[in-house]
Amino acid sequence: MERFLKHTDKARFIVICLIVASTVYASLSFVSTVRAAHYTATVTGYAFGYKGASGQVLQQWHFANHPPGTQCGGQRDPSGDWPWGTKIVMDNPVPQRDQLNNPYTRRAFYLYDNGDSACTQGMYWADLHFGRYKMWWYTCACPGTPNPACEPGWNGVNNCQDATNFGTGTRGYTK
Amino acid sequence: MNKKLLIAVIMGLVVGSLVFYVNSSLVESQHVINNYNVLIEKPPVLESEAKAITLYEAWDITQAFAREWSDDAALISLTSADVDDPDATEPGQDSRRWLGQDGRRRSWQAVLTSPGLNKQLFLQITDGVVVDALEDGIHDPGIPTLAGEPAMDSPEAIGQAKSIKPNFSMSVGRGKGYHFILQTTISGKPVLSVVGSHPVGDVQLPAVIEFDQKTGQPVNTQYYITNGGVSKWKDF
Repeated sequence: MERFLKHTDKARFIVICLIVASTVYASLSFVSTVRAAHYTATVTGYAFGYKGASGQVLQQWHFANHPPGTQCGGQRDPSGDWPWGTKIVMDNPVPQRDQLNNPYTRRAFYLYDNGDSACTQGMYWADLHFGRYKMWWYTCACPGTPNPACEPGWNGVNNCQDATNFGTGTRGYTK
Repeated sequence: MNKKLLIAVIMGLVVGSLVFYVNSSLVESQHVINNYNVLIEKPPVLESEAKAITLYEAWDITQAFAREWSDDAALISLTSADVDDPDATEPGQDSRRWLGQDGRRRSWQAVLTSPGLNKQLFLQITDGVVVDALEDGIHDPGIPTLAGEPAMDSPEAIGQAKSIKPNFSMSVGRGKGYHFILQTTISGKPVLSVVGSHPVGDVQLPAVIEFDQKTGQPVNTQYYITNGGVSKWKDF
């Protein structure tokens, strides 16, 4: 190697190495992006719904996004074309509560519902379902849920409040 | 011992125990469980030979995987899906046979729960193989599980659905073809839902025909309508 380099332009050798390394790095980065696309978008929460647009009874691991063909500021939202069953994994665990009000987190959500056809939430919006549990003294109503349906919970659980607390924010997720 | 002193001691014991109990409960309730764990990671590109399977076949694959996962695993739902099904997602690839016309679909997703592990399991079966498996969430006693094999398989279910509603046809909404969902309704009834579409007036709307999971008897027919920006399932 030493001898080889003696007869070669060292600077050029290093430059070529760097170019090759950069290309390999860029290619691998591209492959990794294709493999798991990452999105940063508005992510919200909803609760007390019953059956999603897919016909599935909504559960805490479901999410909704724009229906096919949704226009956001004159552009078609590509996420509206994602098929039923698409999985997204949130960058950060999402706090939820079961029927007994035990706190836990969840990261994976599956697409089985539509919403926001007017695109008030922007491209790649995702709406995570927080569940249907409530105490008898809460009314079975949750803002933004047109067809509320709820079930008995214990220990003060209120999934609507959980969704409200999650709020609206710009969050990252991988598909 | 002075009587007042005794009462004070007893009260002190009670109050102290109560405060300890409440505090312990609060501390315990603050312990958030994070179960996210990938067991099988789906490859970037699925290169498998097309193999559409029925609900029963998906059930068997799910049960086999579940037994290895946990002795007390119980099924929450099993549904056909469009994801990773080129017949459903790529233009010009709509092979009707594989979009549920004969009761067979290429992709299925199952959700299971284990009280012992205090975890939920999410599976995706594509072309007859479990291609994605992950643990997430916790066992929730409020979510009903499905016991026993369904009364009928998906090929029979699609035939039954068409005999009940002869104009029942493939989906017109976001879903492609026919879908089959084994799930529990909010009233606690286990059902096999067949999702497609049905004409309502001049419009073809998404529709679902549901069968009792245990008896196979039809229990519900609904279509999905959007009115004034609000969408809902309505009986027909």
